[in-house]
Amino acid sequence: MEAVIQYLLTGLSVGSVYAMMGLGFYVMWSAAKAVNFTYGDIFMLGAVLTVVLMDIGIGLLPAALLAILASAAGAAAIERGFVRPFNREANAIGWMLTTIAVGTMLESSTTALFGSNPRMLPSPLAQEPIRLGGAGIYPQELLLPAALVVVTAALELFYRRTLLGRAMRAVAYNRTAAGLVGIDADRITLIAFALAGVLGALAGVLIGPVVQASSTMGAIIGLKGFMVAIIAGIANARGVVIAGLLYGVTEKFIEGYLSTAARDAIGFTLMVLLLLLFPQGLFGKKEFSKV
Amino acid sequence: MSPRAGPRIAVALMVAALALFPWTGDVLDTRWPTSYELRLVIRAMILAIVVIGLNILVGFAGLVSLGQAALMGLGGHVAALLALRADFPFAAAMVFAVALPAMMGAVLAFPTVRVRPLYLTVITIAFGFVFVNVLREWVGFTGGASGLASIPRPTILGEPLMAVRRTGFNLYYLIVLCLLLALWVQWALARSRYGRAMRASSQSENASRALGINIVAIRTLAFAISAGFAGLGGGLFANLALFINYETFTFSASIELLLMTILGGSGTLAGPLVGTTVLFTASQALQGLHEWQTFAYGLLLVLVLFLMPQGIVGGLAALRRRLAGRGMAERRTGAWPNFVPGFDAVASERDAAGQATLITRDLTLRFGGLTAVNRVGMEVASGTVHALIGPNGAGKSSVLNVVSGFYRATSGQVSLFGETLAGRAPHQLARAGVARSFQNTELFATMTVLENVLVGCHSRYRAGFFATILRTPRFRAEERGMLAEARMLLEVVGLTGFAEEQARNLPFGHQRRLEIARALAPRPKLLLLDEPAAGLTHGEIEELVALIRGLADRGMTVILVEHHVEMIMAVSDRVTVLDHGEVIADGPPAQVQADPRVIEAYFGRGAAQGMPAAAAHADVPA
Repeated sequence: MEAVIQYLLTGLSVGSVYAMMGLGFYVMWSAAKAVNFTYGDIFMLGAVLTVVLMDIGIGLLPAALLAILASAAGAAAIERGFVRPFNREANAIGWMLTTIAVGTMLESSTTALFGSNPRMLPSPLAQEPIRLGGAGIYPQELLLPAALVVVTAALELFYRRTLLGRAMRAVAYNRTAAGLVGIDADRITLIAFALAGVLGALAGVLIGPVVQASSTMGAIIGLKGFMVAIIAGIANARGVVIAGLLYGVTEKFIEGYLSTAARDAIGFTLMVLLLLLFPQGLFGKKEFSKV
Repeated sequence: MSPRAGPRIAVALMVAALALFPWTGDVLDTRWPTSYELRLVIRAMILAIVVIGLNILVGFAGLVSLGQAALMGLGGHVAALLALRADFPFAAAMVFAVALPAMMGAVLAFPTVRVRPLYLTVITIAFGFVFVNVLREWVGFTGGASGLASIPRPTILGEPLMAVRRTGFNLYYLIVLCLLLALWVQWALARSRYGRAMRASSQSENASRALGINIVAIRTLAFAISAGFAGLGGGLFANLALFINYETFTFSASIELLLMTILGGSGTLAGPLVGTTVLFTASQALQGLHEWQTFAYGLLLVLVLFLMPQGIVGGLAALRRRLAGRGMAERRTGAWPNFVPGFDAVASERDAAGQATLITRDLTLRFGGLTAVNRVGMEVASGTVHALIGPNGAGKSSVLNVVSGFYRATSGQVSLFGETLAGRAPHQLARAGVARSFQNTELFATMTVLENVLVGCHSRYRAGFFATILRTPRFRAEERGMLAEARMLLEVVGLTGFAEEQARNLPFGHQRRLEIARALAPRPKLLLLDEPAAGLTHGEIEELVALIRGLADRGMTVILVEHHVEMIMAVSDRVTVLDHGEVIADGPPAQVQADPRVIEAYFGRGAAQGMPAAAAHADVPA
């Protein structure tokens, strides 16, 4: 029973990270029908930059804030420089290749400059585990689901209630028509990538104290975030959140009852099977493409 | 010199250079190449085999895999494990080293490419990570980090295979042979319906499906072939090094393979060789960069994509085209329709005269709350031209899209050629005899005019995949026949002079002609034309009318969605009028033209009262 609670709690925690990353992919995909393929590196930058900024004497919260803003700016720059010029035609694949290349450059330069060893991201919430029904967990890990709830609600409000959010939905629905009513679709897309950058870097900062910051921390998590978004049906925000949490919990149970080594192999196989059964995703509607 | 001589000479020179390379030392009386250099060349050849596979995927099918190194690793480990643990002879182990990755490729491709090509890329990255992960953790089976060592030396007929002088460099020559084989498959594929279908599906999914191409199948095939080549490379690698572990097959190795493909020029036949050679040479130099080496690959990929997206070979070819294009004579546009003698065969598959080719009953199509088509019943007799008209938004194109399988009807029945074909996919209906054009022309933009028509012949080929790759005499005869027919169709629409031109360079009117020629290539029984006259000049419309009449006179059934009233009156045998998704009139053109409800739909209430033909019904209070 203790083990079950333990897996559930840590699963929800790591699942929140996948969900936030999945939301980031959702935000980018909706606006651009393209994504930053190596979004995991934005996540990594959030944590690594926080550590670097704390090294030069800045406190945890301002450092985290600065790191998130810097990562978001980086995400926007990637959209402007590497996605937009390569996403002009309907079936373009150039943006896939350019963002992968940039991701490789980000990761390897971080390894070279920051070092290949993981570094601590000290947080007062990750010092002493607390006990919950026999399970031990850092308060920092509980912060993640809470942050996810806030982020999801804020995103929903943003999309529904603000002019910018509505413009973003309009662009997602029909880019040309949005342009015709005076929305600058390119600018909206840039903002969407920056917004996704905030989500990704925030997730990195929040999980950093638990998993430590390193140049390679983003690759797998970015990939899982993407797969979670695909499994959910990439155009459904709530679905992405649910799928992210489910995947996190499933993973912890596999890890607990089988082995860490089996975790990704089984998780991955599950995803392929789900995609086989639900081509449009678990929560996705059949897409209608006009002929 | 004939245009094909250049590549042939290049291939001959390459074969000669590769054949002589191990013996260079004897000729020049030096100690070069040493076994080290020999080994480098062998490794480059193995990589080239993998890159050729990737080129088929990226360059032909427009899909991206970032798990290619892992698929190579899978082939390598299959070969190594079968030799080590099951005492498989070399040849048998290699068969599995190719077949298992190919199957794995199909398993990864099928669920993903039917949704979105992008998903394949994501899944291949995931496969790559998991593959390395499993190898690292499953120490008992794969040796973990220490890998699989002392793989037994490969033999064929008891002869040990080694790249040394004593054995006549037999392993070296075996790998040269494999490379030539890969080049052959790539070449044969490019010049076959399979390669054309791959390129077509990457350029316009809709047009491909309308021509009978099963997009999911062709993409799965492309990835299976590409994974098979990766496996072949991996298997050879294991048998060369006699040692294998996961470190060779990581994500960055996949990026390197992709970089080679793009750098050489994806979609070109020589690109993989050039890209592999250039990058492999460069990577020997880049090794000194240590942790910055991966960075350099990323930077190089970005630079190539920005500066020469077509790669080295593609860029040179474009340059040569531009130089050759200067001073070329103006192309002659032929008169159309030009019903050349062989043309009657195109309509040879027609329905029996008098049969109803299409019957719809209560056909309804809803998009959410919007009813686009409401209980439409119509009957189209074989060998007639049936026009479908109505104001904008009346549901004409929606009916066309249901009949051609692109939309699924919410309710009601559709029967085609006397069969109920509800729920069939567009490519199945195309094979049953439905062809169509698109409102916004959907040509395969970077394929030539002739290739566009040849894609239309796709579903009529009988030669299977292996006959095609082996280019059996039967296949070649068939290919010649299709080529003749495609040229004949170009003659009919007057585009013979443009056969080798890329479709995107055609003027608009010519694009319309090409689309019709392509739609005729499958020899359809029923041809659906969606606003074929839009954007055409007056003269072109008259020619189009002559073509459509000519088709109907030869027994083909034509459904025409059109706004151009004069044209409809001139060409149609029967007209169905839709308004707000419902049939408001149906009959011969003259009768429909006089129908007050039709006039009202087009011009509004009140207009009908002013029309003399409608005067008899004008007593309805306005």
